[in-house]
Amino acid sequence: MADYGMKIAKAGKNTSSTTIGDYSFWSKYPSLTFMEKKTVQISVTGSGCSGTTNVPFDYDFFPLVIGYVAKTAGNPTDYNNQKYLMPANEFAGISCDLFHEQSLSFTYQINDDSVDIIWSSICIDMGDLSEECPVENATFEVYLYFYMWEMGS
Amino acid sequence: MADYGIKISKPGKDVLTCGIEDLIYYSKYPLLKIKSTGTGTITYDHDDASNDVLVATHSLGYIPIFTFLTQWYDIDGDAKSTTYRHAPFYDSLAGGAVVTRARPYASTTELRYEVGSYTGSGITSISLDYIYVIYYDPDADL
Repeated sequence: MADYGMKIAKAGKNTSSTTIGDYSFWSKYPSLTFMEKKTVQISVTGSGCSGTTNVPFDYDFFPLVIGYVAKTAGNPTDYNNQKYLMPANEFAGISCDLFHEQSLSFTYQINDDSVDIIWSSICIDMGDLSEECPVENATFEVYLYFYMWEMGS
Repeated sequence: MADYGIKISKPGKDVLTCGIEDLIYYSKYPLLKIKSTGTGTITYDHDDASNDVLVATHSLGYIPIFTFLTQWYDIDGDAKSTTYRHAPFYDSLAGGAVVTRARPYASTTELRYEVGSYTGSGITSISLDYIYVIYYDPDADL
């Protein structure tokens, strides 16, 4: 049984085609199959403006994870609820004073049994490069989409 | 009819016993579905100003997920690159004085592209082609 499976051609295309682009589905080629979305809220405050947030998962394999981030509360409000693909930097319009440069970063790494969201929203002193938290608080939401695909398989 | 659907396993794997990582298709889980895709060109001044353009509108009623590829300004070579990079990205040299950034983002109604670059080379105008795909949120399928 060397030749088996399922094909669904696009409208106007024939299932005898050998062109991948002519198909909506062809079981010979794995599709990106969604399993789960995990949403994580991260608050940036005057006393906590960087960190790592661990998000556990319960799969027996190393899944494909694609993450997005949005600032959902905090000034300036016109930047709120805009979704960025991660890794994302300098995207939320947060400002520091004249003597500090804002540095905003959201990225993630995938472990065997969890995802680490590595984040920071800090003001860097342009003189001595020391770091401090922004004066205003902000809230971010990170959306992790888990796909049924073992990375590297 | 609690247990129904379609499973297709990878070659050599028993569809009845293998783990989900060995399945090519499992109808229990939705596939990522494309809402729209397209191309465009953004033309902007190479002066580090923020340039924010509408890429596409959608009527999904939620903030969708998307992928975005764009040509970019190479600050090392001080020239436009005609290859495509996966955005967002942010490059800087000389403490941020030399910069290129590409930040597509989605709202509940639009996909927009904010881009900027500066090297001090005197170049005034740059045009970058881009490609985008907007997906239905698979979580909304469940």
